[in-house]
Amino acid sequence: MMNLTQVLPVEILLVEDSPSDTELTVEALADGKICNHLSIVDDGVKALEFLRRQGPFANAPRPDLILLDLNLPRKDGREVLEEIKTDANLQTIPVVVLTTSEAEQDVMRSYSAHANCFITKPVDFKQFLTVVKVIESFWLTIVKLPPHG
Amino acid sequence: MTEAFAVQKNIDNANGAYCDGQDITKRNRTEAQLRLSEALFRTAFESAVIGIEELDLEGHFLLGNAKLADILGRSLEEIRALTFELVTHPDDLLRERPLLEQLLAGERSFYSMEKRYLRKDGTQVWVRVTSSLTPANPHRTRISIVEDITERKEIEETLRQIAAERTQVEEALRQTAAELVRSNTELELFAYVASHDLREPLRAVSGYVTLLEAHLRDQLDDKAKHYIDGAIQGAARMQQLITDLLALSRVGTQGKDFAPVDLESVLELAVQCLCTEVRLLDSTLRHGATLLETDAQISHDPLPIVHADAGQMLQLLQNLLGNALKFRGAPPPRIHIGVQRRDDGWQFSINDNGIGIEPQYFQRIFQIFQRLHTRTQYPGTGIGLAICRKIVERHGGTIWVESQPGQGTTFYFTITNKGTPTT
Repeated sequence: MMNLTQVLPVEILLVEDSPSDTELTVEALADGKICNHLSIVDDGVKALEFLRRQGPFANAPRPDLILLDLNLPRKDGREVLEEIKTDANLQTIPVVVLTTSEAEQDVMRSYSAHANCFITKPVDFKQFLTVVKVIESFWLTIVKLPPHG
Repeated sequence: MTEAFAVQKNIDNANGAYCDGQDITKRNRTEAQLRLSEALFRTAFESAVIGIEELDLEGHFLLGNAKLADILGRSLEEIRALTFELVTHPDDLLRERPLLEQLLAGERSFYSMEKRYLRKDGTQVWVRVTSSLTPANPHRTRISIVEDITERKEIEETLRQIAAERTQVEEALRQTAAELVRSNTELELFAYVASHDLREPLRAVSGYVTLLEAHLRDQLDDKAKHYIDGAIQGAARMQQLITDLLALSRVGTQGKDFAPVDLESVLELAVQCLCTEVRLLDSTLRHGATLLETDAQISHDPLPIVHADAGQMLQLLQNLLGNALKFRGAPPPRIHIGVQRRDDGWQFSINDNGIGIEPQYFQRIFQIFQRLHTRTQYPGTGIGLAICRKIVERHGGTIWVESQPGQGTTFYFTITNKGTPTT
């Protein structure tokens, strides 16, 4: 029997407001071996509209994985995380908090809101590449993800 | 006291005799006793240490004793020409009139109040006046006891001033505390902004230059590769600087409460951390000293359990050990951690056989950004010892250094029970 998830590209939603971080993440993911489809939104309000297929995002795919920055315009990542994890339709999607912050209160708050993991972006690009690859291989190949809802 | 008792006894005798009163001989005796009793009264009245005044119901002074004259700063003749209203402070008179009216109307048997009398010389004197009416004889009069309470009032006033000053000091302290909280909050915010907003552009520099290098791989000559290396290393150094500055600011703002800390296990952990951290740094920043590569030996006295912030103790030992390894000499590093009990806590020493420090730099090295070597000789941000000093000071101690160039260095620090974990 064929596993569909291995045929269909893996859907990733990147919520990131910094153009440079976005581009570097895109480069890092492009470097990877897993066939993925990346959607990008640059603020918290758009992220929730995307996930709920509202407004311009009526035809948005349901992501298999969310890469979420914490400091975002309009609605910040902490609130987005809390809304995702209290929404019965969205809470099964793994959320990787990928942020520049290494503040203890951000780590605590993210896990309290049921983030699936918290990663501080390394400044060094080579280390950043490694981190993105580890995220990719762990969440997209090792981990068994919930079936599409 | 004896006199007062005698007076009391005479009153009893007088009353008893008066009630009896038919026999002439007896009456004569009674009159004699009355005269005696009156003389005693007069003596008591005139030599009393409190003022006594008799007034008519309009408030004119009829009679006063020497003490009253003393209190009012006037002769008795002068007093008899006055009314009490003329020598009472107007503010106090407002309070006294209703009391007097109640007394005259028979609504109260006496009144007692504190008030200011105005002396002839213009000064004021605080008195407690207790006033009651006499029986009609033939007219009713009013008798007041006037007690000089200036001294007590002065003490009260002093106490009030002290209390007011204390309130002011407390208010100032409250304001200072509020300002501290505010500035701490600002500092934390700044630290957060620094940790986040300064790193993002750094990652952009490092990232794009790395991508550029990959993109142009075949077209780059050695010079171009060297420039790119320079940019990446610059970003890495900046990153280290931000990390160290953050660590410095966090000593005060993110410190934990003090608890018993076993320094033996802290030291063990510090050595472990140095092994891994040095190895990590070595691969990215090309730091000089690595604990793994050297044949360094670390010995120590039995270390005590101290009341401290465990995380900061680790940071402190790690920084000092790290320095001892970094500034090593040609022979293998030998480091010894010594302990001495003091009256108010502990004194620690970290002795090495490294390159040593010239005496003129003994103070300077604890200031932020003070470096004694070029970055090529010894990498570093010049913040490590500033962090150490801040940690030690938070634990109520001091840190200092003794060294001989070429011989080695000993860092000393104390931890006392006077530390303040609150920030």
